[in-house]
Amino acid sequence: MNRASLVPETLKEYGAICRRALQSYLTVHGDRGAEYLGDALRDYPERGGRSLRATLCLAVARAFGASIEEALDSAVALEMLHNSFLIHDDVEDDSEVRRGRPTLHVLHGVPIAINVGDALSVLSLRPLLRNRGTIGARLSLRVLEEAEQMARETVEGQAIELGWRRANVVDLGDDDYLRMVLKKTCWYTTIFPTRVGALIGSRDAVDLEPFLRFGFFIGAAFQIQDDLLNLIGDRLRYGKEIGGDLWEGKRTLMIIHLLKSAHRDEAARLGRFLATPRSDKREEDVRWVRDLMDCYGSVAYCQQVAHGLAGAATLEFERGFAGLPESRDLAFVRELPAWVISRA
Amino acid sequence: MPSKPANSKKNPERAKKPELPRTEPIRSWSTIFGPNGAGAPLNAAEQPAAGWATDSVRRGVELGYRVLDDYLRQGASAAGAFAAPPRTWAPSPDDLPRMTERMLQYTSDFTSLWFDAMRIMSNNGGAQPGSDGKATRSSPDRPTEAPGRARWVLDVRSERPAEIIVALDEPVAGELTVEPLRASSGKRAITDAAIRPGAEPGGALRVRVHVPPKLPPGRYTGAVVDAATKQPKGRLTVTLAK
Repeated sequence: MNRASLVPETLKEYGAICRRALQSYLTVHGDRGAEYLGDALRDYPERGGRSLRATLCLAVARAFGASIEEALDSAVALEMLHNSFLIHDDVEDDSEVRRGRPTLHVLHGVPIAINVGDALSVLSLRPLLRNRGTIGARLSLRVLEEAEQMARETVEGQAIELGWRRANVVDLGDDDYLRMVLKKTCWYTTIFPTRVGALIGSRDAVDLEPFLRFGFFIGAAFQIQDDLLNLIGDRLRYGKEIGGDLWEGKRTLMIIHLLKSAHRDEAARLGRFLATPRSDKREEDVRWVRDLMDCYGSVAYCQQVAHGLAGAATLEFERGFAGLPESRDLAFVRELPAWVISRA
Repeated sequence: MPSKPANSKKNPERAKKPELPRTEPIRSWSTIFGPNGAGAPLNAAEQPAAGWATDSVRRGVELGYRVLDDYLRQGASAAGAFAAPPRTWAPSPDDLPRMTERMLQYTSDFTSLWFDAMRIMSNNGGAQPGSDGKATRSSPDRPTEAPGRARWVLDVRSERPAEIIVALDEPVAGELTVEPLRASSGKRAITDAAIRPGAEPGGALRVRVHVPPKLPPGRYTGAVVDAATKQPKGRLTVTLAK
């Protein structure tokens, strides 16, 4: 397997394993509201997605010497929680498209979508409890502790971002963005999978802080790239609405850069744009913001910042994974920073 | 006669290395993944000047490390705050025996539940409940007395009123050993305790508990062990009233 295809092919292989295992947790019996829960519960997980989080967890565990079976339930729990977050995010952002199809609340209404998100979140406890049979009680409890921290950090990060939008906060710096992203995105996308993979693989024998560092830098690069793709990506490959973040008034690094760089009048108009509800925004205003980003180099700036963060991730990889024997899984993790900023 | 070398002692001019165009390696985050990095800007107008790009990259990395270090420092100080006990609470000397008593109670309760679960499983022929909560094999509509279920005969001597609880994994057969019944505190124990299956007519179990004189009130508990296999078969608990 060559370097260029290593990451996509590993994502595909481990993603398939995880999706098969996940299905076994999504069966709802008739007397438990299956007709209102069953199909909706399976919808988002069956839409695919890259399975980056689950794959990272499995690959790190295997790089440390664990089997796939030992890490699989933790990876499945994470995927269930991830889909739960997506459903709720789409409601909170009033998004219309997810993975190329209408969002769950567009299909079934907000009440059912929220409940399905809750169900996936609650059901993610089952694979974490099942860990006892695979990795023992002590390690299972450690994984649960990591999961608790991950979930808490994620909702706190989401609260910060939603709070910025509700209060129309415009006085933000790059460090504010990175602090928010560390909590909202990095913890459940890259920090938790790396830490838990190392925890399981080493049987809790290694210090987990280096993996927090690695996870933060690669997660932040990942999020910035995701925000960039929202502006310049290919709609079919990206799977979400192009420009959706502008319509939602999301405080991306590009918006923060633009707020600081623009002239006073432009910044004031931008502030009014961000404060306008999605339904009242006009297409010409969205286009104006996009053009302004080009004018002030906001997109290029953020691409460079993402490059820097990916580079820092590479450095932290060398520190955190030093001494491990060479393997396909180790190579996958090593190639991830480059993939994160080059994906389309 | 050969000419003197140019760098002789009398000649102050010494050979020098040429000025190098650079004195350190060129390393840039912006080129680590390729000449322009992957994900090049949309058009030529957006292509930043090399110095500007390097500044942006460096800024991103420096900010990233600063944010991360702040986060880790906050985490460390929060962990320290949780680790220190609050000043308003301090365990008193009386707390330890009560805590130990509670621990033993929990252990006793857990052991009872465990034996109950084992009994249910053996009555169901080892069937486990399915994911829908129903047993996978049919279970009796109402509990029936298992064949050979023991009856009890108690032989108890005690100065204080005593409650006797026997929890055994049935069926009971073979010789049983009762470990000394101990309380959470104190060194004294009830050592004269025995359970003898089949000692009575009709196969009843004889349970003998002789409490030593002046034994303090409390809960005394000990394991019941199969004398042949040394496997635990249950638990005997004696609670002496005040």
